[in-house]
Parts: sequence; C-alpha cells; structure tokens
Amino acid sequence: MSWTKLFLANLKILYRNWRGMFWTIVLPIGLYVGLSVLHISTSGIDGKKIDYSAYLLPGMIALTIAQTGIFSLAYWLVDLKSRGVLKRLQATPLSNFEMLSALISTRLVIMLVQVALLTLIGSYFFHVYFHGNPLAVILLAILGGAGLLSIGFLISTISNSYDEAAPITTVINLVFTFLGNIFFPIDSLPKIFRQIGGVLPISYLADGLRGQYLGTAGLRGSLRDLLALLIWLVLLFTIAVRMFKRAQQD
Amino acid sequence: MEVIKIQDLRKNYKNFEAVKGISFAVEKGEIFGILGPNGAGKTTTLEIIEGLKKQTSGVCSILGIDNLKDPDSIKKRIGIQLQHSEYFPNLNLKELLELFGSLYRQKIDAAKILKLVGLESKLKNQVKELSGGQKQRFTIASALVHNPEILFLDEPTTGLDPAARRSMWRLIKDLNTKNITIVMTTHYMEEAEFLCDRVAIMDQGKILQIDQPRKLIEKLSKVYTLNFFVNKELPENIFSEITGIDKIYQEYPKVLMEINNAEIMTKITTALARAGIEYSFLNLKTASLEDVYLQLTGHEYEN
Repeated sequence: MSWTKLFLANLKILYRNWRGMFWTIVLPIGLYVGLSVLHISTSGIDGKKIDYSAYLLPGMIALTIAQTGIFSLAYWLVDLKSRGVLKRLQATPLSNFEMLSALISTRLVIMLVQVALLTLIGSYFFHVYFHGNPLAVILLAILGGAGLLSIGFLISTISNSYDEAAPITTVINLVFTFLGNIFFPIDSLPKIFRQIGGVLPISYLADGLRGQYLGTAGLRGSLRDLLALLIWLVLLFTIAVRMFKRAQQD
Repeated sequence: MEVIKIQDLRKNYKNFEAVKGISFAVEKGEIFGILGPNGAGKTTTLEIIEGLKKQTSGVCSILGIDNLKDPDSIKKRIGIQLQHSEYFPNLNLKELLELFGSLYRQKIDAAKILKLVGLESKLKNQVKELSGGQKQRFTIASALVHNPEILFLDEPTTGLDPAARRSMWRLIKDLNTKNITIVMTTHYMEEAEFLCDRVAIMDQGKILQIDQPRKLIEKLSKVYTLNFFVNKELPENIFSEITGIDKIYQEYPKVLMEINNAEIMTKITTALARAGIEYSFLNLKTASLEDVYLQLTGHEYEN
C-alpha cells in the first residue's frame, strides 16, 4: 500500500508537471524526426545499405532512456534531498528500498512511454520495419532503464546540489553519446574507445535494441545484452544504495 | 512513566563532537524543551531519538524500545516535525496527508487532521500557497496522521512572526492536552518559559541543567533586577543598611540593581528619598531563563 501510493503520487506529480514532461517527451522525438528527414543512408547490421532513420531509431531510444535515467532522476532526487523531502520520508516507517524503488519506478513508466512513442513515429512516418520480439524490447527497456536510473540515483547520493550534479551528469552523457554506439557505428573509432564503449550499459542497450529493430534477433538473440544489463543494474544499484545509506548515517 | 530515556549519548562527526555525553528522561504527558543556541547539538540529539541518525555511543530508549534495535517500531509511534523539511510539489494538502497516512498503512480523514491545526479551508491548496505559520502548522498536521504518542518539534516557531508564534503555542498546548507527549527544541527563551513543563539547557553538546523553568529561575542568586533613573549620583553606602542587594551598577543617570527579595523595594525608595534623590522610570523585573542561561554558560545568549 505504501509503495503503490508513493508510486502513484509520484506519477501524479510528473503528470501535473506537464511542462517538464512535455520537453522530456517531445525533445527526443523532435531530434529523431529532425535527423530522419535528412534521408541519409548508412549501413545496417549486416552491411546492407539502410535508411539512417532506421539505424538511428534504436540508438535514439537508448539515448532517451539514458537521459531520462541520468538527468531527470538525478536532478529530481537532488532536489528532493536538498529540500528535505527525502529526510521527511525517512522519518516514516517506509524502508529505504520501498522509497527509492517507488521514486525510480515512476521514471520507468516515462521511459516506456518514450520507447512506445519513438517506435510508433519511426514505423509510421519513416517506415522503420520492426522485425523483433516485443517482449525482448520491453525487457531491454526495463533492465537498461533501471540500470541507467541507478546511475542517476548514484549521482544524487554523491551530490548535495544541482551545481554538483550537473557536471557529473554532463560528462557521463557525453561519454555515452559518443561511445555508446548511438548516432554512428563506433567501428571507426580508436581501439581503446571501442573497448570502453563496448562495455558501457548504454551500448548493450543500443546493441540489443538494434538487434531487435533491424535484425531478427528474437528473445534469444538479446540474451547476452540482457544479461550484461542485469549485471550493470545489480552492480550500480547496490553501490548506490550503499552510498545512500552511508550518507544517511551522518 | 518515562517515555524517553537517554544515557550518556554521544555523536561524533569526523573532527567534531556534536553531542558530548548527555543523559535525560522525558515523562509521559509533559512538554519537554531543549533550549540552546544554534550549534548546541539540539537537532542532532533529536534526530538520533527519531531514528534519522545513529549515535556514536550511549543508550537511547523510546517507549521502551532501543533506537538501534528497532527504529521502525519507534517510527510508527512517534510524530516528527523536522526543522527544514518540505513536501512533494504539485500535490495538495489533502493528497499529501493521505500519502503520509499510507506510509503508516493507515486510511486517514485529511479534513479532520487539517481542522486540528486550523487549516480546514486549505484542503485543496498546495504547500507553496501557505504562509510561513500555516506551513509550519501543516508540518505538524503531517506528523499527526498516525496518532503518535510522542511528537517531536524541531524549532517549531523559528522564522514566524509574533502572531503566528502565539497561535503555534496555542496549538502545541492543545495537542498536549490531547495526551501527546511533546519534545521540542527552541532557541527562544520566552517560548521555553511559556510552553515547557521542563527544560534542558544545552550548550556546545552538553546539557547544563534540567528543571522546570520556574525552578531554574529560582535557583539564581539574583531573582529580580531593579532599574531606575536618578537626578543625582548615588552617594556611597546609601543602601548599606538594606540586606538582599546582590549588585549595584551605576552609570549616571541610570541605575541597575540585582536584588533577591522584592519586598526591599520600599526600603530602597525610602533610602533614596532620605538622601534627597529623585528617581523615575522605576522598573522591577523578575529574572528570566535568559538570566539562567547567562549564569550557566558564562556567555551572552546569541541566536
């Protein structure tokens, strides 16, 4: 009951903050549409020439998930922390796990909306044909989303204000955008960049999604990416909870 | 019956001792005040009792429950108003109270709770639309959703104007008559004197004294101060035959005397008249907690 109420209250807050939501949802779509109308062609997974809008869609979805996870969650949590809202919740019998998972899950809902909208726009307006398994896409979005949200959560535990959180989120976003296999294949990058890029959570998410959207991966084909995302999720969430608890003791 | 028992409580931060071994007990049904300047360790003490922080050492038992062993059971039975706490944006008071109720797994009647703190007309308003005093009363409402046995108030009137402060005092007294034990911190002397059954005076992480405000004042050697203006300098030994005068400060034309017996006032005025000295603006003041604080700490009270 507590968890559900807190989750629903947070959804209501997001819904009532419609200006923030508008940009969160419209900007990635705008960027995708803007780049897709340029009609660039590029090579797909198996080397065949494909339209850039098709190549971009899964990457764009991965990037959107990352940004919602990192930026919007980190700033929201830092705000709640600096205004004493989290402390007030901790004064109730609500456990830390319930509190944080409810706050984080709300953002997962937004991510799923973003994924659905981008997919719809891609397939209706740019004729990106979806070959994959819908369940695999949802699992990728949830595991990847939760992992990237854990990064946002982790950042909020080490920053006490927006000013501290902003540079950290910006750097992570920069690395993810360039090395995460989002806009262009990273094959042409120096080896070290490819190695770093290859293990980033966003890369597993983008590769997994690309396999689903452009290839015929099926659920089985995405297992490796799903497993990697799960490992990232457990790792990041555990560290973040530890950091959160440590900060709380003082 | 003791509802809170604290023994030799200490809290150290990296290179700072915030609380340096304090002990006290709070009786059921009383309003217990912790009085002291900013940085005295009041909030840290309260947050340890509330289960928001852990002590470095010492024992802290609330309603018979050890704070380190079972903080959640304690949280279910106490209400907490934090010093700087805000609420989720974009939710109205009713929604916020219902949310808080659900965190204690209780269905609540938000209108009834808001009525208790005089905010029944603000059911559909958001916190940002409330005045400072109303906001503070709402924080108390949010601490009452689960009918707590003990209510903790951390500086409930700091930053409020005098009228809002008086109305907050009335609310606190009201809640206390509903059988809620209240533990509050304050740095306002007159607030502690007016509200609290007992007061712990805290300074630099230590409790200097605990007693009823009146008793603390009575313990002082000087109980009254007498002020007046004179038209001539006082001759020496003018009051030598009067017993009960502790100190005389003279800064012509102003005289300030510390006396321990109000009845000697007539003797003083008679002595002045006999010496042909006219006096004006005669003013007798009883000592206040502020004087107690001054004597205990040896330094001036600073907010």
